[in-house]
Amino acid sequence: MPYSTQITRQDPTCFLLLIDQSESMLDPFGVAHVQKTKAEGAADAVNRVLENLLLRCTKGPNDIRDYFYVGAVGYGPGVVPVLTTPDQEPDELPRLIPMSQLPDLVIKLEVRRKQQLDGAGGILTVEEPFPIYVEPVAANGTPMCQALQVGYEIIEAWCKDHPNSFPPTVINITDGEASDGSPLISAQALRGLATNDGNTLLFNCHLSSNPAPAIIFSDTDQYLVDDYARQLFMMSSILPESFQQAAATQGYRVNNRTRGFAFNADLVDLVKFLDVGTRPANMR
Amino acid sequence: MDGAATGLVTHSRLFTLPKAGKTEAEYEDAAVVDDATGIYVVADGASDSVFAGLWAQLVAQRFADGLPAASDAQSWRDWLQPAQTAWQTTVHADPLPWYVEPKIRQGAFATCVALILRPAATPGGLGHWGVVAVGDSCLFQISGAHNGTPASRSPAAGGFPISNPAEFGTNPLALCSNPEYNEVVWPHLAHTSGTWQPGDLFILASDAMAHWIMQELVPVGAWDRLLPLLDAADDTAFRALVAAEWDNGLLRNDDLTLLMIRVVSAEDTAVPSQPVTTAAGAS
Repeated sequence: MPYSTQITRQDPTCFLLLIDQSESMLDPFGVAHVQKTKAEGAADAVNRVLENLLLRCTKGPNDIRDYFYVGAVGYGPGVVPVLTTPDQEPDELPRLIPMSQLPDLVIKLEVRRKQQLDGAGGILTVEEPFPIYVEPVAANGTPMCQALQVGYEIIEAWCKDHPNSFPPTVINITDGEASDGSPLISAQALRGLATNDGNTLLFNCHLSSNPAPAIIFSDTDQYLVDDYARQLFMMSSILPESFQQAAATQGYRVNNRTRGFAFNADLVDLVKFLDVGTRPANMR
Repeated sequence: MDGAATGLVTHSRLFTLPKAGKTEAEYEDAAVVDDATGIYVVADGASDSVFAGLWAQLVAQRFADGLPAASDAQSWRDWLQPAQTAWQTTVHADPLPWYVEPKIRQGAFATCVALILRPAATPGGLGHWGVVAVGDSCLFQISGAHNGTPASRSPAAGGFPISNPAEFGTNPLALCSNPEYNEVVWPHLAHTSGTWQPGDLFILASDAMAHWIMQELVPVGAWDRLLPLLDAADDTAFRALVAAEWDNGLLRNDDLTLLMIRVVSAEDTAVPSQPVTTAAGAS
């Protein structure tokens, strides 16, 4: 069965984040009661994905297991690496970085408050460090096709080096307004790259100024508000069976037509669908 | 390992092996073997949680120390609390980097199965056993009187609390070091009890091993694949079996724990045999 290879340090998988940093991302994010730009929403979504990837790989102090390699590419003011190690060469393809190196790339630690049950019927407010790896950027056009092509080069090399690994995951976070043509063909090419365990998964996160209700993991485009959203829906991979099962466990209503697409929402829960070992049903 | 106390004479063997690709230090199951008191526990630390091996050890030891006196949820909360305190104290013994703190708050998780054996009232009579389990660590009972076939009337003949291999997954319920996450566990504590005769074999296993037993041994009664391990001089035969089944793709790559207990005899006139109360079934 495809998408069933165990993710281990010997056979890691990779995550590539494509981040729209074009000028249109300065527009307000269309989620009620949220006062931020789409660029801020995109940076937040990326930071949350990275936080959750790191959380899954953390086993203890100085024990971060390299189940995942991660990279991020911004597109707007060019197509540029966003997560960079000091030895990244200017003309080099953006690198995929092992999770054990991710803490070194934190720009700053913010403190966020979170409420949780205390186990005795009460509610506690706890302060948690929230790592910022990526900050909002918004300038120029939206070279999404070019970003997908750079993504293709990165993923092609990864698949060649890791033929027996769980397939790569690419998450494209954008307002959908590509300025360099239709991204459908580039997206199809990217999804065509494969390891022995299946094709690359391309998921899209559409951040819009339209205040329509958020959608996550939909099996239809009929409730989507515009052509950009419908195009991103079409570009998105159908959730593999193993993801469908994990999504159902997390409370999502999914079927074998459900695509990895979100409208005005993030796709952080995708990180929970990856099998790096036993994840108890009562873990949140 | 042999033991004798309160008339219970057992012969037990414990085999452990970390997941292929992990070191011995990264093994996150735990077991308690107490032939003297007739308490046997296997706990399986969830690999997606932090300090899971430590938590599995604390949970296993908590069962070995005794069960709560009552079966309500509050009694179970109180019973687990010393292990939770010990886990918190240990993990905070040294300063932690920022990226570990959220994981500490999430807590460590472990499934577990705990077996209590009680002797028979008369030589050759029926002894009693009880079991409490959370998640997918399992107990099996194989009757010696049936030439190695599962004890047909035993509630653990085909596996307990799971008896269908299809029910294994990567998302079992598990006891957590963070009390918040146990509220959904207490109504689902699995417990049952039964009787045993001299010669019966009990097996406790963490999930991958239990799945293999259920899939490969139970349907055809192929217990002769495990029985020689009871008298093996070392774990060479166990490791060979595991390596072969990993190669065959029949045994999932995971930490493995196999605890086998044969009840050799039951001679006790001092302690009357009584059904074992496991105090489970919290609501």
